[in-house]
Amino acid sequence: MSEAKVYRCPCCGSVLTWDGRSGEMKCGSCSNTFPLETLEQYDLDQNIRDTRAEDFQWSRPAEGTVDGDDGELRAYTCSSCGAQMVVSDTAAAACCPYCGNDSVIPQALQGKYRPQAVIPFLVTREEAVDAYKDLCKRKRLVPRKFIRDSRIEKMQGIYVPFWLFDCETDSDVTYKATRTSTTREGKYMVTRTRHYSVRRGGTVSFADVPVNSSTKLDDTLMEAVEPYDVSSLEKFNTAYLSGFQAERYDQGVDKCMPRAAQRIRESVSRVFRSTVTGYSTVVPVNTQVNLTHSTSRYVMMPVWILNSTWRGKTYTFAMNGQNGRVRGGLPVGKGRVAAASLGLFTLLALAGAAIVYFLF
Amino acid sequence: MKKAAVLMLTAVLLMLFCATAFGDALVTDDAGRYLSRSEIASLTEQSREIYDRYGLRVMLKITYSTPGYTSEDSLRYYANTVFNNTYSGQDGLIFVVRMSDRYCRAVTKGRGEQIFSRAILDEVEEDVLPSLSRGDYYGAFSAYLKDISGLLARYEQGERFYGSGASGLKTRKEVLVEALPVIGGVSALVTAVVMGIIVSGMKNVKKQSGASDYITDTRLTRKQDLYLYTTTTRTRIQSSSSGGGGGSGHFGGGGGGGSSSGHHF
Repeated sequence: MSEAKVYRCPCCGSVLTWDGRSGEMKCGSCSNTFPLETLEQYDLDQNIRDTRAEDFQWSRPAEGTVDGDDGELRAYTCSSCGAQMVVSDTAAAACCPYCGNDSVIPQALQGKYRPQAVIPFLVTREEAVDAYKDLCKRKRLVPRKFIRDSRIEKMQGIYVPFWLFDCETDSDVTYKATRTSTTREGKYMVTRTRHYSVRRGGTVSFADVPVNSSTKLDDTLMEAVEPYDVSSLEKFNTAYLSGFQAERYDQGVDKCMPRAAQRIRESVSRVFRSTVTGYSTVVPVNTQVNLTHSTSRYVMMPVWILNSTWRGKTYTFAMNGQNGRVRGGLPVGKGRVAAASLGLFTLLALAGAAIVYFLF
Repeated sequence: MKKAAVLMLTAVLLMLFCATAFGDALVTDDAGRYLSRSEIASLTEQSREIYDRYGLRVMLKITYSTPGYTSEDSLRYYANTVFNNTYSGQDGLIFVVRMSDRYCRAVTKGRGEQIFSRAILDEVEEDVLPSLSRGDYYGAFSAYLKDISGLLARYEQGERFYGSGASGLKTRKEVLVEALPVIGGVSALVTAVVMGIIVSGMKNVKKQSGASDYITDTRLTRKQDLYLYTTTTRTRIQSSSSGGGGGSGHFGGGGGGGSSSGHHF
């Protein structure tokens, strides 16, 4: 037995009935009337359901690329001095603590852990160090002692493992929108608000959305140094790693998919929101995203990193090893803040006093 | 002989009357019941001192009604007429108090228009309103003359009473001292905001909210804007009540002369 259809008022939610006089559906509570076609179209809009990031239906990755192991320590022999190095399970390149030789650990990048591509370092160590010094100089509230003690020589170039996601999305987004006009009618200000149900839909294609796949490196910092120009991706070769540190992934593609989905969903929402114009207010209701043709691949991308400790807290500086984009938190010198605040306050107070004295 | 004596007495009385009506008409009480003779004499003396020192006639007039000039706004024209009839072409100001509706207003003429802005005249009036309210008309007029004299002294020293004149009866130093807490508060607030912005800029690490850098193609294939209904709200416009006085009427320049806004007491 099929379910009876009930039409509800978009304004107050009461049940609508057919009004023969107007030829439309009428609400007994708020007296609004609606053409039948409008109600049927509105009904279709209500069927758009919100898609959460965790509900995205990704294609499964190619055979051989599965989730990583839990981290362990492993021993390797330095190819230069023969010393035994103990490195983490995910390290793909390491620096020998005895002779300082940078070694690539090929065993860490075999089989499922071998990246499909890599963006080589374009920014040199000297350029990275200069950029760090310049950043510290520009931020005047940084304690000078911090810069002296930050041990710039510890700046490391690291190849960071990423999953890159491609996909096409077919989405529908619904909004509630209003247009408001105000006029004067005699002794009254009359405000008329026209209410709309707005819908936008279409396809948005994404290519190479990166998600950090190493738990040893902070996701926020890795995203902060984006974007990378993935057209410069080269076929992976261990020679690129020579002279640098490298990490292989320890978070498989399944664990990284939700983050990619979150970013994609946000971008889809923004794209369609920008097409809703000419309204006084626009409130999104539901965003439905269907994924098609999704693929992923495992690559390595270059980052310069410096960790500094100041008064028990660690401050990390990161620089995009391809385009030089700089990001990082810096400590704030309390003495400098106090001095700057006092100086600014004094200046403003003097200016205010001068204005009051001479103009009033 | 008798005739000569009568004529002389009449002439003397007439001269006294004229002197009172015109030459010494600086302070007048038409009803004769608000100020005593000694009070009128004292106030006249104070007003003459102002004229002798600054060359400005300051007239004070208290009357029960002003026939032909019954509205609040017309009191300024009444004051204007009285001053012109008495001291036509001279510089000064006249302060009129009308007891029928307990309304007062001041009008300036000539140099008086340049010296006293509407705001400063309002301030002086507000200063004497409490005395007028409790019936101390001599005290009110005496204070009025004292304030005017003080303002003229400061004007001679180079001070000018422009704009809103909130500081008219106070010296610049007094205004500055009163404004110090506000200046300090505003400076502190601005400093806190500016330093907050600078400190927050020390940390420039933010997670990416979207993936707009990785969009390769966008196609809008479905677009629908469905009108549903209209809601209407009506708000009654509050009419502003007319204040006690001439409202925003012009001041300074023109044939009407400068004027205060007028006050009820």
